[in-house]
Amino acid sequence: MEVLMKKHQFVCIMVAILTLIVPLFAQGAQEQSAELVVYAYDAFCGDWGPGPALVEEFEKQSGIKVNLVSAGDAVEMMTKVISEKANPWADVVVGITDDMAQKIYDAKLLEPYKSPVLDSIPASLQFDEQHRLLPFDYGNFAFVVDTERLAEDERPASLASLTESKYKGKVILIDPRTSSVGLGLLLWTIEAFGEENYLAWWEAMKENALTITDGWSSAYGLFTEGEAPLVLSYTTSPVYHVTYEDTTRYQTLLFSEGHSTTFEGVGLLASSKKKTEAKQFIDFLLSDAQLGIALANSMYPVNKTVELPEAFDWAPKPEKSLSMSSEILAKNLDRWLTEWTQVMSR
Amino acid sequence: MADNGLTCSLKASYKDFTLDAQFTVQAGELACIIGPSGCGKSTTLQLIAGLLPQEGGSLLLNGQDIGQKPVHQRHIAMVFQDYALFPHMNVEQNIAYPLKIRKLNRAKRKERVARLLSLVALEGYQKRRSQELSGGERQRVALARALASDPQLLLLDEPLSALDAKLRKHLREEIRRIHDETGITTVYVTHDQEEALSIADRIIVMHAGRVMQEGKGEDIYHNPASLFVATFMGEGTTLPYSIIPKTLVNPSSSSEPFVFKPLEGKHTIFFRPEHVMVQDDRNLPLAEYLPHLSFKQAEVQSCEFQGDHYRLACSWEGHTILCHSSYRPKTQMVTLGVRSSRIREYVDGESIAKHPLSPTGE
Amino acid sequence: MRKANNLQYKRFYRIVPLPSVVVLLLLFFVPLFFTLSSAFITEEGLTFLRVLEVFTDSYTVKIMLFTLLQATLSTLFSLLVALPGAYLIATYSFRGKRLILALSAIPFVIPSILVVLGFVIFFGNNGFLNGLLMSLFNLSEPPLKILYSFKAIILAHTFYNFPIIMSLVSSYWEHLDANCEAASQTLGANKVQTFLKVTLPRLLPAIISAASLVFLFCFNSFAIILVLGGGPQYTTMEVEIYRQARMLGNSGAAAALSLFSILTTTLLLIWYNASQRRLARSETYQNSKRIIEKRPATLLGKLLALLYTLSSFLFILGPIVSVVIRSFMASSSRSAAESFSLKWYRQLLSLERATGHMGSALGALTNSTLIALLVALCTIPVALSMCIAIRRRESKQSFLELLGMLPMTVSSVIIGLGYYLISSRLRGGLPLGYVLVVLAHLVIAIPFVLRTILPEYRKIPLSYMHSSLTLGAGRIRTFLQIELPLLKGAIFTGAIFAFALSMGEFNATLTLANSSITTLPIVMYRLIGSYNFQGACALGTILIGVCTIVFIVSEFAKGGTYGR
Repeated sequence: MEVLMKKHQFVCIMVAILTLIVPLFAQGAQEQSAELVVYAYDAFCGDWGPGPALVEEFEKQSGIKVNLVSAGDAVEMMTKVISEKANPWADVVVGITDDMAQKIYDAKLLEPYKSPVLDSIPASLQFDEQHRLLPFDYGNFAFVVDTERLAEDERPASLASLTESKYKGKVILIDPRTSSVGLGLLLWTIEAFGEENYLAWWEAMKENALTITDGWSSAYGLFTEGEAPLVLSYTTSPVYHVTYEDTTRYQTLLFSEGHSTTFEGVGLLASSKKKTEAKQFIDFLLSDAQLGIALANSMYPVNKTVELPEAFDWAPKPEKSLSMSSEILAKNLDRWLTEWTQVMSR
Repeated sequence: MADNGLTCSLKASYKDFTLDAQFTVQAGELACIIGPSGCGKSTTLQLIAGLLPQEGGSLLLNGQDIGQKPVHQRHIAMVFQDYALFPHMNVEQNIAYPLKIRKLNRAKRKERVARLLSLVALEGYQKRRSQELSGGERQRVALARALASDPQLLLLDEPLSALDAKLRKHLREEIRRIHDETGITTVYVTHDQEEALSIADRIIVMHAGRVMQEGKGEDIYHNPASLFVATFMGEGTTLPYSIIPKTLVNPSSSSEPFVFKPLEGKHTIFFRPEHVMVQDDRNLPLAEYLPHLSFKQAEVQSCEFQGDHYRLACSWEGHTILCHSSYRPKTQMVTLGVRSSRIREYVDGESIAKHPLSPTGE
Repeated sequence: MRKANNLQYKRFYRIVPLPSVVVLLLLFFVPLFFTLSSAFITEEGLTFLRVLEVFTDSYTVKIMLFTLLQATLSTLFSLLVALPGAYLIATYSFRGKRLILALSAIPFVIPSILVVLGFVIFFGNNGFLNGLLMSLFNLSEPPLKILYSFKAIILAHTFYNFPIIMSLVSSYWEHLDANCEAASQTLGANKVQTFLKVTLPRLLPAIISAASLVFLFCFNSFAIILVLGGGPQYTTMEVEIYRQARMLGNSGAAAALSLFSILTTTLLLIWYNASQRRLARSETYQNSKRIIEKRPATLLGKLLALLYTLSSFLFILGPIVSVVIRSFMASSSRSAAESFSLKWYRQLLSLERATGHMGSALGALTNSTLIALLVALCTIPVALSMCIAIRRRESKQSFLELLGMLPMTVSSVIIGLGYYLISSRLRGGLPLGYVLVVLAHLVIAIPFVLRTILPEYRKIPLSYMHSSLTLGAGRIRTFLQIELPLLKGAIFTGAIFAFALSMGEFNATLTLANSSITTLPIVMYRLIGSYNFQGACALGTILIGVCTIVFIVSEFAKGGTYGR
C-alpha cells in the first residue's frame, strides 16, 4: 500500500509540472497569429499609464487588435528586444529614449518609417534623421524648488549658481549609475559645461548635495518630505501637484544654460510581419493619442496641434534646449560614468 | 539451530569498531546483552531491529529470515533508552498507536490499552501526558506500548539506566514478571551486571563488537571464559601467577602433584572477594588442610560497610586484594586465605581449561 | 545517536525532495545560470578573461572591500544593540514584550524604499524627531543631523536589523539549560565571567545564525546605502552590478560582478552551515523553558528594562509609524498645511474617484493576498520535503541544505536579470504570469522557511521515529503522525513568514509579471513614481498592517507548543 502511495505521489508531481510547462508553449504559438504586438515599458502599460486607454481607442478606431506587452523598464525593454533578435515577436517598440537609442540602431532592428504625421512635429524634436525612432513625447530635466522653503530672491537661476555655498545641503541629486534621470543630469552638465568642465561642477556639488539618491522616486520623496528645497526632476513635475493637489507650492526653475531634453521614441521593427497595421498604430500614437500620453506621462506632446490644459502653464518651456547625439553618448558613456565615480568617491 | 527464537550472526563495520557477533536466544527466553560502553550492544539491538544496515551474516527469527525486511515489517518491538514517548499524545494514544496501525476498532483498542496498563501496573493512567509521568512510569508506558504491537521479539535498550537504584531494583522485577506473563522472547541490553545476573535466563557478554561468552548467569559468574568477563561480571582480584610459590600451602597430594609451570604469555590468577577468608573471621574458618593460598601480613587499606558484610581492600606485597568479611577486622594486619579450588587461571586473558591447582573433584 | 541510514526507505528519500529540487532548479538555478553564463560568453565564444578582469580590477576589489566593511560593521552594531535586549526578553517578562517580538520582522519584509523613506520621515532633518526636539527646545536648526553619512548607513542597518537578532537569539536563549550558569556561579565566577565564558559560547549558534542573516541583508543592501549614505563614495557591489546591467546594458560585465558577489556570499553560507551543525548538536529537546516570570528586581533593572523597551519601540516603530501617520495626511487647497484626512484610504477602497494609480490599489491588494496565501501554502510542503531529505544524511555537508539557502545570498538585481533573460524566451498570458510570480516568491521564501523548520526538525530525537517504525508504522505514516504534529509551531511560523515576504516582494514580481498582474508593492512603487507619496504611504500602511496582524497571530500561537 505504501509502495502505491509513493508511485502516486511521483506521478502527481510530474503531472503538476507538465501542466505548468505546457501552457508556456501553447500560449506562445497561439499569440503569434492574431494581434499587433507592442512592447512598452512598465509605467506605460500600467492601468494608470497611457497605454490601456490609447490601445482601447485605437482598437475601436481601426479594428486592429493590439497586444500591449510590458517589458520592464526602458532599459530592460531594449535589452529584451535586442536579445529576441533571432526569434522576434514584437512589431512595435514604444519608449526607447534618445540616450539609449544607439544600441538599438547598432543592432539594426528598426525599419525607418517616414510617417505622414511627422509634418505636425517640429523638426527640432525629430531626434533621429533616419526616422528609425519617431518621438512621441519629450521632457526637459530641471530643478524643482519648494517655494515655501526657499524665498524667491534666493532661488538659483543657473546650473552654475547651484554650486554656491548658500545652497549647502539643500540640493537633492540622483546617481547617474542607477537612474536614467540621474544620467540625464550628468549629460546635462556635459552638454552645458563641456567635457573639460563638467567634473568641476560635480566636485563643487559634493558639498551642496544633501544626498545622491538611487533613483527619482527616493529623491522626489525626500523632497516632498521637506528634507531639502531643491531637487532634480522634470519641468513638468509641478503639473501633477497643480492638477491633483491643487497647490503651486512646487515650481520649476529655468536655468540660463538651457535644459537637457529627453525624447521618448517609438520604432517599427524590421522583422515585423504586420507593417501596415504597425504604421497605423504609430501614426495614432503621434496624433490622437498625444494628449492622453502627455497627461499620463507628465511630459510634453510632440505634436504641435495638441492643446494642453491650463495646468501645463506651470511647466515652463526652456528657451534653450540641449541634447547630445546618441552616437557620441554610446561611445563615451562608460568612460564618463567611471570618471564621475572616481571624482565623487574621493 | 533453533527453530524458534532468535538466531543472529551479525557483521557490520563502523568508524570505531567492527561488529561480529553470533548468538542464539531461545523462544520465550529473557536474554541480556551486557558489556562496557562502546562494546556494541546498542548497535546490536539496532541491527536486529533493522534500524542499521547489516553487512553480511544472517538474522533468523522463529525460523524466518528477516534480514531483508524493512523495520516496520519485522514485528520486533523496541523500547529505547529515552523511552521515546510521543509528547503530543497522551498515554492512551501512545499505547494505542500500534493498535491503530493494525486497524483495531475503537472499543477493542480501549480494552487492550486498559489491559496493558494493568499489566504494567499503571491502571487509570490513560489520559495523562508523558510530561506528567515520572521516569519509572514512562518506562512502563513505553513497555506497554511495545507490547501492544504484539511483537515476536522485544528489545529493551538500557531501559533502567536513567532511574535511581531502588526504582531500578523494583522495575527489573516488574520487567521479569511481565516477561513471564507474556512469554515473549526478549533481549535486554544493560551495562549493569547485577541487573543481568538477577533477571536473565541467558547472558551474552560483549566486548569490542564481539561476543565473549554466552550462557546462564551462574556459569558466567563462576566460570568466566576470559579475564575480561571475569572482571566485568563482578569484583575480584587479579594476581600474577608468579606469586603461587610464595603463597601456596598444602599443595595437592592427590594423583597429580603440583608443578609450578608458568605458561607462555601473561599468566594470571583470579578469585572473587567472597571466597577470600580473613584470618580473624570466626565464622569462616579456613580448612587449613585443603590446598590454599595464604597471604600473610596483608595490610587493611579500606573497610566499607555493605550492610550484610564488610568489603575490605588489603595491600599485600604491592598488590591489592579484595575480600569480604562478616566482621570488621580488629587488627590492621591480617592474613588472607583463598582455597585453590576457587582460583581461575588465565593466560593472555583466556581461561585455561585445566586447573592444576585444584584437586580433581572439588 | 546513529543516523537512520536505512536502505529500505531509499525510494522514499529519493522521491521526497524532488518537487523542491525541481522548483529551485527552474526558478532559481536556471535564471542564475543564464545570468552567470553571460559572464563567460561573448561574441567570440567562451572566455574567462572577462571574469579574470573583474576579479583583479582594483576598483572592483575596493568596492568589494567597502561592501564587506559596511556589512560587517552593521552586523556588529546590530549585535551589540540586540544582545542586551535578547537577555531582557529571555530572562524577564514585561509588558509589550510580545508586541516587540511580533513587530521585529516587519522591517525585513517590507520593500526597502518604504524603509528608507520611513527613516527619513522620522530621523530626517525635517523629520518628526528633529521637529519635536526643535519645538521642545526652541531650536532653529535641526539638532540631529544623522542622515546622509556613513554613520547613517550603519545606523539604519542596525535599527532595522537588531529586532530580528533580538527575536532569534532570545527565543534560543530561553531554552538554554540554566544549570550551567548556576554551576558556574557555585564555582566562584561572577555574573560577568559567567556570561562571557559559559553563556556566550552556548549562544553562539543562534548568534551566528542571526548575524549571518543580517550580514547578507546588509551586503545586498542598495537603496538604504545610496540614499542615506549621501553619495557615491559609498558604493557597493550591488550598485555596480546595477550600473552595468541597467545603465550600460552590459549583462556580461554585470554577470562577472555577480559571480564575484555570489562567491563571497556562498562562502559565508557554507561556513554558516558548518558552524550550525557543529554547534547545534548540543542543544536538543532538553529541559523546558527556564522560569521567565521574573520581573526586574532592582530599580536599576526596572529602569534599564523600561529604557530598553522605550528605545526599541521608538526605533522599530518610529519610522514605521511615521509612514502610517503620513498616509493620513493630505494637503488640501493652496494652503500648505496638511491635515488629517482619509482621502487616500477612500481612494484605495474605491469609495472615491481615484487619482492615478490609486484606482488599482484594491485589485492589487486582493492579488497580493491571494498570491501570498498560495505561496505560504506551497512553501510548506516543499520545505518539509527538503528537511526530511536533509536530516537523513546528517553527517555529510548537506548539499541540499546549501541549495535551499542559496536564494537568500543572491541579490534581487541578479535574479531579476536572470528572470529577465529567460522571460524574453517565454510568451504567455495571465495565468502563466501568476504561476511564475507564485513560484518566484516560493523560491525567495524557501530559505527562510527552511531555517525556521529545520532546527525544530533536528530537535526531534531519532528515537521517536525509530520507535514508530518498530511499532509497525511505515515511513510515510511515521512522518504524518509523529514528525508533522511536532512541527506544527515551526510550520505555522514558517508559513506566516512566507506570507509576509510574498506580500512585500517587489523586484522579482515586477520583472516576471506582465502589466496585467499588479501587487501591492508594485502599485506602491508606481505611486511614488508618479508624485503620489502619500498614496504610497497609505498602501504601505495596509501592508504594514497586514504583516503586523499576521506576525502577532504567529507570536501568540507559538505559546501552545509541547513542553518536553
